[in-house]
This record gives sequence, C-alpha cells and structure tokens, in this order.
Amino acid sequence: MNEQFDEDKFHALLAMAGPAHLHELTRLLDDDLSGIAAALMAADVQDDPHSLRAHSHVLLAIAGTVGAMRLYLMADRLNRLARGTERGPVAEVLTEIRALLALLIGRVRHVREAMASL
Amino acid sequence: MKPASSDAIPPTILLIEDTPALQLIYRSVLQGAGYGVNVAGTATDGMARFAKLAPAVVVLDLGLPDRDGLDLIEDILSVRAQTRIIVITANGSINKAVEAMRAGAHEFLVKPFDESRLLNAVKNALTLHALTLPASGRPANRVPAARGQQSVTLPPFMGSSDVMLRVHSKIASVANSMATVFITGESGTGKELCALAVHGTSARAKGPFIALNCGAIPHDLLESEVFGHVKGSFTGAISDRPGAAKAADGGTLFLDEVCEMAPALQTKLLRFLQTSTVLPVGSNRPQKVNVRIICATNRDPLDAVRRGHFREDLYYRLFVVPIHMPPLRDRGHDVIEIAGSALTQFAAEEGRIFDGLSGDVVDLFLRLPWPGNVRQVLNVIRNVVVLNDGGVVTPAMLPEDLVRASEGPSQQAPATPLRDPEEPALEGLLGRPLAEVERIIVTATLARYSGSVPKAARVLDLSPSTLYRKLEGWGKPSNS
Repeated sequence: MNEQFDEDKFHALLAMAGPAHLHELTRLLDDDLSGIAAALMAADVQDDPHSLRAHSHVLLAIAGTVGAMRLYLMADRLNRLARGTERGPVAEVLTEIRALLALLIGRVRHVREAMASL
Repeated sequence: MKPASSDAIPPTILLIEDTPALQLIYRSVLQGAGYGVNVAGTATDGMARFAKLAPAVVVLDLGLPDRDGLDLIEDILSVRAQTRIIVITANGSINKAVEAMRAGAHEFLVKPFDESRLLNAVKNALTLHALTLPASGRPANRVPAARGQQSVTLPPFMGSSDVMLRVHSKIASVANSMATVFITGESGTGKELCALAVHGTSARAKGPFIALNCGAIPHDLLESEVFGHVKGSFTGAISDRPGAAKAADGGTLFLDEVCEMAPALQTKLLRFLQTSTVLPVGSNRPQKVNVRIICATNRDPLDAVRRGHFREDLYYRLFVVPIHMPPLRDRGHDVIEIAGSALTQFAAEEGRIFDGLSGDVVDLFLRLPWPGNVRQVLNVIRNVVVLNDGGVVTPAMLPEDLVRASEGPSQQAPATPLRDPEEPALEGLLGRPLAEVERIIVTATLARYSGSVPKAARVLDLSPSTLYRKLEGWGKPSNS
C-alpha cells in the first residue's frame, strides 16, 4: 500500500505546536483519529451513510492537515460515496482507510513516545 | 503574512470548531501569529462567546454538532453586521460554502488547513473590518506635529516615552511622502505596527496594506507570492493569481524580514522598484502598479550587505527613510502603560476583574530586560489573566522564569550558558562517527535549553521542523 505521506507538512505541524502543545496535539490527534476509526467501523456495520459522511468529513480535514495525503484522498472519496455524488465500492475504500488510519495513529503515537523519552 | 506584531493589544479571533485536534492547530497558528484566540466547540457556545466578546473576526467550521453553520452566520451578522466571518469547509461541502458566502461570510477556506491561507484571510478580514469602523470606534493616539505640519492621528500605538515620541514624529513627517521606509528593530518591538502607522497616516490610507513575511515563505514560492503567476506556469498553478505587489496597488506593500529574501528575488525586487512594473511568473506582460514600499528587518541591514547576503544597490534603494523601533528596555515606563492596558483588555475577554499591578510588579517590570519586547509583556499578562482569578497582580502570579530572570545574571537563561559538567568534552567526541557526534551535540543542546526545541534549533542554526525530524528519526526503532 502506498501511504503517500507528506513528511515536511507533518514535521512543520509538530514544529508549529512546539514543546508547549506537542503532547496535547498528539493526544488529541490520537483521540480524534481513534474515535473516527471506531465510528467508521460502526457506520459500516449499521450501513449508516449519514455517519459515514460526517466522519469522513472530519477525517479528510485531519488527514490533509497532518500531511497524510493518501488517507486524505480516500476520506474525500468516501465522503463523496456517502453523499451519493460518486458510485463505487465503499467496502474497498473503507478497508484501505482503516489500514491507513492505523498507520497514521501509529505514527502519532510514535512521536508522543519519542518526545516523552527525551 | 503575519499580523501587526506590536504594542497594540492583539485582536482576538473567535474560533468555532468542534474537532479538538483541529481546534488546537488553528488556535496555535493564530496565537503564534500574535492574535488572541477564544475557542468554542459548538454553535451555542460560539454564539454566547460572540455576544460577550464582539470579536472583529470569526473563524467558523460549518460542520458543527448542534446547529447548521449557515444559521449561525445569519445570527452573528444580525448582532454585528461588520463582523468578518471566515468559513472553513471541506471539499465535499463546497456548495454549502457558496451558500455561506451568500449568507454574508467574508471568505471561505477549503480544508485541508493551510497556515498561510488562514493567516492571510484573518489579516485581510481585520484590515477590512478596521476600515469599516467609524472613526470614533477606533482607538487612536494623537501624535505631536512635526514642524510645519498639522498633527495627525495614528492607529493604536502605545508608549509615551521620549524615544517613542520621536518615532511618532518621524512617522508623521514621512507619512505623506512616497519615500521608501526601512524599519529596523528587535523582534517584538512593533515594526509592522509602525508600517501600519505610516500607511494609515498617508494619503494611501484608503488603499490596501499588504504585508508579506519574506522569511516565512519558502524561497521557491516567494516570487509568486510577490509578483503573482499565470495559470500553468508551474505545477499547482491552476489559475492566474495576482501577487502581493499587484494586490497592494494604490496602497502599501510591507516586506517584513526583507534581508531573508533570496538573491535572485532581490534582483527582481530592485527591477520592480526601478520600473514600478510587475511581471507575474510565467507571464511576458509587465503590469504597471502604484505601490509604496515599506520594509523591515530585525537584523542589521548594512551588516547583511557586508556579508554579501543583501544586494548593496537594493539596500540603498530601500534605505531611504530609516526608522528604528527601540527595544522595550529603552522605553522607560512604556512597559507599565502597555502591561496595564493589556491587563484591562485580557481580563475583559476572560470575564475576570483585576485591580492593576502591585508596586513590586511595577518595580520588577521596570527592571527586567524584556528580550522578547512587547510581545513578551503581552504573553506574561495573558498568562497572569488566564491562570489567576483576579485582584491585584503580585509577583507570585507571574511566571516563575520571569521572576527568576530578575534575580541576577546567574539565574537567567544565559545567552552563552555555562557548560554542564555532564556534557561530553571534545576529547569524548573524537573518534566517533559524525552522525553520532551530531546526535550527542543535539541532545546536549536540548538538555541545556530544558528541552525547548525552538531554542535549541536557534542555537544549532536549524529550523525547528528539521530538529523535530531528526529527533523523530532517532526515536525510531533501528529496524523500522
């Protein structure tokens, strides 16, 4: 799988948060992304397009902001699928999103741990 | 582009966004640029804060949990029609963004978030808001008249020390000429506010004031930012875009940190100054513009020329009327005036009541060197207001490092700190691989500055993001 991650954007974001907010930022990102992962899974099980739309909307905003470009594109696609403006295999998109989300959450946790060990 | 970093109280932006991580990111960017930020996570809370604060600018995410953002726009504008609302939306809701513009939003930004676009939008919104205020609604300082001139009214610009009165007088003298103004001064002394004052008292006051931070924009984008580009001129140039020089037509172009400009662009700036024409990237049609240039730097521009970082001919073109913004430590009692005013404003914003500064705090403030100048004073006062319930501000309420800084040079964070005996000596480094030496040096530098990446980065002459990247790389398991 091609993660397509914009490292510069990610590190610029960490630099912008600075030491004062870095821990809080990574904690919030972890919470938000984990919450979205759980909500997307529930929306899939319950076949709830409204929830898929709402959570893919938040996901594309966060993914794009942190530089997770592939995840951003997939979240954008899921959002269009959920809105009905595009047709396609929702299950496949969701599968890839889940994998990319896991990678991103792992990356965020890794930063937290790296900074905590300093 | 960044807002006026000055001794004016920073304007407060109301941010209404329900996703906590995005809330923190937007807030950090705005605070980092010198704005006060008040945050709400729901439409209801946002409306309540708006009613209390009456901010000039609201940054609004349309996708709120409790209410349609479009309704909120209408409610806000029905209370204060001159409020500028910047809507943030995702690609999937562009139609809604168009509806938001029809409902009266000032601008919309498409997610994902882009720092410079957000700051540009806020800055433009604040500038336009200021222009729509009635004259009586703008706090202003009356400036002594220069010889042979009438007194003029400046935008808010605090300080009545002799040295600041001389600055005011110089601004009044130069305002109505077309001469290029070159503002120097340490970081946090109010260079951009000085530029705004020159613009605001000139015949161009009704024209645009466009500020560009030459040090904050990647070199490969700076030419496009200054002179614009045409569609297709490079990857990502999806439409024609006028640059800052064109946007400032009829007004003032403020080039902050001008000494950071790349040599190639210095040549183009010189040509622009000589011909008053701009040539957008990818275009062969020069466009005539009528712009007054004000530039600023926190470095010694002549030293930059001597070191070959700044073109000498450009220096003489720009350095026509120099204005030096004095550091706060040279401004006598201005620090008390600024701190008192900030205390009043921040307390009102936070809904608290403070009864001024104690005598001990006044003495301390007058004694401190304030290396961060006015920006540091504002941060200290903000800290006091946020962390305390009210009353008279005493030394116990101040940040600990500030009090320590007043206790003598040995207690201060030193410019050239004493060597930590646990740090490796040179002989301990010899014979090790260069990558390992780098890591040792970086780690020791970080330890010396109490883990502060920005401070360590400054000492190591790296950008903070580069340092974060290195640290993350070292934190990774060796097999990853």
